Amino acid sequence: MQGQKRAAVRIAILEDDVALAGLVEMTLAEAGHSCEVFGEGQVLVRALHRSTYDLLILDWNVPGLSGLEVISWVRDNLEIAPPSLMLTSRSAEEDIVAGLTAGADDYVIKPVAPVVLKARINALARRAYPAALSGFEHYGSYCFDTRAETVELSGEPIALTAKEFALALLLFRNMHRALARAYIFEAVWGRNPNLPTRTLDVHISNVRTKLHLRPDNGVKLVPIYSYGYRLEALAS
Amino acid sequence: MRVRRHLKLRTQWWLIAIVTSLLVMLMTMDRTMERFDNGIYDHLLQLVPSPSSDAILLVEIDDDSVRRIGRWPWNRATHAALIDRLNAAGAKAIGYDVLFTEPTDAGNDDALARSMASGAPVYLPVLPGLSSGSGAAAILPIDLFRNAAAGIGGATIAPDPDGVVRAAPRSDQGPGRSQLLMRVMAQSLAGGRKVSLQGRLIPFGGGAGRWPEIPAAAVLAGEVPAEFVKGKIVLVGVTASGLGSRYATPAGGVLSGLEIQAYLLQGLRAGTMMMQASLSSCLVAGLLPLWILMLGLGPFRRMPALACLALCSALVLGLSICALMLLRIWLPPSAALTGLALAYPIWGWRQLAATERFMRAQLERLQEQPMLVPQSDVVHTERGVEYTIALLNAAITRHREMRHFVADRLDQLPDATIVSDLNGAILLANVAARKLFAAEVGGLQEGSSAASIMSRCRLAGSGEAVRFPPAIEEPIACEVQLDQGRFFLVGMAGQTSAEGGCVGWVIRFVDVSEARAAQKQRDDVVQLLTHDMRSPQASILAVLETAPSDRISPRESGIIRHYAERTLQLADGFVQLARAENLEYALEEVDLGDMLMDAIDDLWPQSKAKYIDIVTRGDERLLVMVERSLLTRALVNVIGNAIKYSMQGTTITCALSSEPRGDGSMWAVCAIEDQGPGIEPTLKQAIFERFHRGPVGLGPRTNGAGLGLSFVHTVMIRHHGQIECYSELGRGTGFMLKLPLQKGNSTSRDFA
Repeated sequence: MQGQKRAAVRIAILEDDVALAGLVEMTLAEAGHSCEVFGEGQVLVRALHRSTYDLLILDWNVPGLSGLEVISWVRDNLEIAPPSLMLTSRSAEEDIVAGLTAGADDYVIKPVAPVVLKARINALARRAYPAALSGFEHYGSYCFDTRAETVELSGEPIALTAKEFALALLLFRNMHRALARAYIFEAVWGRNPNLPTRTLDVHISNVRTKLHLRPDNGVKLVPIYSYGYRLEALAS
Repeated sequence: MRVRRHLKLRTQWWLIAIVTSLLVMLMTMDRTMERFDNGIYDHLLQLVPSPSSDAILLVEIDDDSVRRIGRWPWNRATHAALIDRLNAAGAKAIGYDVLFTEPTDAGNDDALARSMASGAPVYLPVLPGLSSGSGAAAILPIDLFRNAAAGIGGATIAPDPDGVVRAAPRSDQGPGRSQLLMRVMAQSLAGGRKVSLQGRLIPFGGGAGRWPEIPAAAVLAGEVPAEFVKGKIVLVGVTASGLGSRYATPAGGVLSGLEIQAYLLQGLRAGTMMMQASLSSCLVAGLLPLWILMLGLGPFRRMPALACLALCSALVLGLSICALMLLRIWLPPSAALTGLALAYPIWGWRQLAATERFMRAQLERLQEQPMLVPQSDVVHTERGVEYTIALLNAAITRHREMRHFVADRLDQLPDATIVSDLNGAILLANVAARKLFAAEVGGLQEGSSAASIMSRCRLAGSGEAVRFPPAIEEPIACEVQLDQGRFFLVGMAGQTSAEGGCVGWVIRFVDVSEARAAQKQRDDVVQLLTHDMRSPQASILAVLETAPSDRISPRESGIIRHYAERTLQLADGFVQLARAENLEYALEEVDLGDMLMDAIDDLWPQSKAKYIDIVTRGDERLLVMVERSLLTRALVNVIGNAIKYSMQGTTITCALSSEPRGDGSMWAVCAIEDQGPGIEPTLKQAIFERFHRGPVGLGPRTNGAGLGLSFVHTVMIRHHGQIECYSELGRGTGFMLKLPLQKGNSTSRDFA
C-alpha cells in the first residue's frame, strides 16, 4: 500500500491475560509502535487522565471496568477520543454489533493472527489520507484515477458509475477499517439521503462484481452484520 | 312452507281495516248500538242549556183540582169558566189538552164554544187514530169546538222503545194524519214565520218543575193574580193521578205529559229542537276515526298505539258533543267507538301473532344450528304458543349452557385470560386470571377494568407502559413484566361479533418467567462457551505464537495448535447452533448471491489450499428475508463440507436459480455440487436422520460435519426453507438449499 514510513503510534492495551497481552505487545512492537499494557479498566482510565494515547486496544471482559465501559468513559470525558479496537473472545454477532455501536472503531475476535492485527491497527492509526499529487492511488492491483474518476484492475480499465467509483474509493481508502452504513451513506450520497436501505447493498454488490473484489485479487469484502462493511487486503 | 300460509302483515292490516269498516257501517245503518247511544245522549242532554221558562204557564187539572171541583170528567161549563178566567187574566194563547170528541149537554157545549171563540186563541187536541192500518183516521173534536178553536192537532206522546221520551212523535206526517198540536200553536203564534219540525228531539233541559204550574181549581176560584197569567201561553192539561200519564225523559226525571208538551212547544218556538244526524254523516263520523286509528297503527306510526286509540276515541266523543251543542245534531258515537274497540285489539293480536311467528322461525333456525354442548331436542308435536315457549326455553338454556361452556373452557385454560368490552370493562375472567389479579383488583368482579390491570404491566426491556385499549384492532403480542416480578407474554386480540365488527378484547397472560429463566440459563451457557471457553484457547495459541522456537519443538507446537483450534471450532459450532435455535431472528432483505459470495470468500484459504475452483452460476438477483450472518454461516458450512470431501483440483459449482413453489410464490434455490466421492446411501440416510435430531450437543459424538449440517438444517427450517441432499457414489454430492423468494423481487442487477 502506501509505501511511506509511518510515525510511531502510542497504544494502550487493556488485557488481563498475560500471554495474549504479550503477543499483542510483541506484534505491535514489531510494527514500530510503543505499547503499554493495563490489566484493569480503572487503571487504564487513571492513566488516560494524565497521558495521551493514540489508540486503544480493549478486551471486553476484564476485572473492574469492562472494555465497553472504558469506551463510554473515553467518549464522555476525553476531548479528542482516540480510536479504539475491541479485541475479545466474544464471538457472537450481537456482541460485535454492540461493541461497534457503543463506539469501538473496530472489533477483532480472538485468537487473532498477528498480520490481521497489524493491518487493523495500521488502518485505525492512519488518520489522514495524503492526497497523491498525481491523482493516482494504487491499492494492490487496483489503480484509482481520482481526477478522471476511472479505475483499473491490473491495467484493465473498468467502467463504474460516479457513485460506484466514490463507494469503491471510500472502501479502498479505509482498507481494514469497519465502515458503518450511516457513514458510507453520508460519504457517498451526502447528508440525509432519502434512499431505501437496500440501495447501499446493491451498490456494494455492483462494485464487488465489477471490480472483482475477491480473494483472487488480494482483497476481501466483509459484511459486518447490521453494522456495515469492511474491505480487507489479504496477506499474500 | 308453513310460513308461506300466513298472510303478510300488510294484507292483514287491509283486511282488518275493511272488515271493521263494514261492521261499523252495518251497525250504523242497523242502529244496533241504539241503547248505548241513548244512554250517552241522555247524559249529554244534561249539558244542553235549559230553555227560558217565563213564556209558558201550566194550568194543571191535578188531584187538588179534582178534589175541589168534582170528579172527572168535568162539566163543560167548568171548562168554559176556566177558559173565561184565563182570558180575563190576559192569557196570550191557550193549549187545552182535553179531548172534546163527543157532544154533551148542548147548553154547556155552546158556552164552551163561546168561551173558546172569544179572547185568546184556544188549541185543542185530537184523539189519535187506532194504530191498525193507515186508514184509521184521527178522531177530531166535534165540529162546534173545531170551529171555535184556533187550531187542532195531535198531542200524543211517543216514548222510545226503552220507554223514555226523547222526540216528538211522527204523527203529523203522512196522509190522513193531523199535525202536532204544539206545532200548530207555535206556527200560529210565530205570526207567519215557518216553524220547522226538522229536528224532532226535544231539548229537555231542567227536568220536572221547570215550568210554573198552577192548579186549575185555583184559577177557577180566582186565586191567581192576573199578572201571573198575563201575556203567557197557557197549557191546560190533566195531571191528576189516575187520569194523566207520566213519562220518563232523558233530562233525568219523570214528567207529566203537560210538561213534555211545554218543552216541545218551547223548543219549537225557540228553534232549539235537535236533529238526528243523517245516515251519511253518521257513516262518515263512524269511519273517519277508525281509519285514522288504522293508519296511525299501521303505515303512519307516530305515537304509541294506546295513545292513538285514546285520541281517536276522544275524537269520536268530541265530534258527538260538538255536533250536539253547536249544530244541534245528534251524532251517535257508539258504532264508531265499537269499531275502534274492535280494530285496536285485533290489530294488536295480529301483530303479536306475527312477532311470535317470526320469533319461532328464528328460534327454530337457532335450534338447527350445531351446538357445542349436547342439548335435548324440542319435541315438535306441540303446537302454537307451547311450542314457541319450548323453543324459547331451549334457546335460553342454550345461551346459559353456552356461557357456562365458555366460562368452563376459559377456566380450563392454564393461562390467565380476560374478556373485556371495548372500553376495558371485564366481562369474563378465568380462574387463573382471578388468582393472578386477586390481590390488587380484589377479586375480579365484573365491571373492574382491564386498563387497571394493564397499568400494572411494563413492557419487558423498555419498561414502557402498556397501552389499553390498543390503538389498532389487530392481534397484539408483547412481553411484559407484572409488578416488577414475573414475566408474561400478553396477547391482545380483538373480539369480533358474528357480523365482524370489533366488540371487545380477549387478553391472555402467558407466564414466561420460567421460559425466560431457562433462556437466561442458555444465554449463560452460550456466554460460557463463547468467552470463558474460547479465551484459554486463544491464550494457548498466543503462547505458542510467542514462545521461542528453541523451547518448544515445531511439531509439538503444531499438535497443540491443532487441538486448540479444534476446541475453538467446536465452541464456535455450538455457539452458532445455539444462536440458530434460540435467537430471535432480525430478518433483513438480502441478495442470496451476495451471501454466497461472502461464504466463498470466507473459504478462499481452504479452497486455495486444495486448488479447488468454486464456480458460481446464475446472476439473477434473488432477494430473501433472512438473518444474514446465520445464512451466510450455513452456506459456509455446506461449501466447507464440499471442500473438505473434495479431491484436490476439482470444481465445486454453486448455482443460483428460482423455481415456482406451486402456491404462486417462488423458491430461491442455491444448489452446491462437488465432484467428491459421494455419500454411501446408508450414510446419506444417516445425514438426514441427524438433521431431525434435537440439540446436537446431546447427540452421538461425530466429527465436525454433523454439527455443521445440523446448524444448516436448523437455519433453513427457521427460515421456512428446505434442504435436500442428492449424491451419487464416485460422482459427487449436491445440496440444494431453498428459501422463500421475496415478492416484488427485482431480477435486474442494474439497480440505481
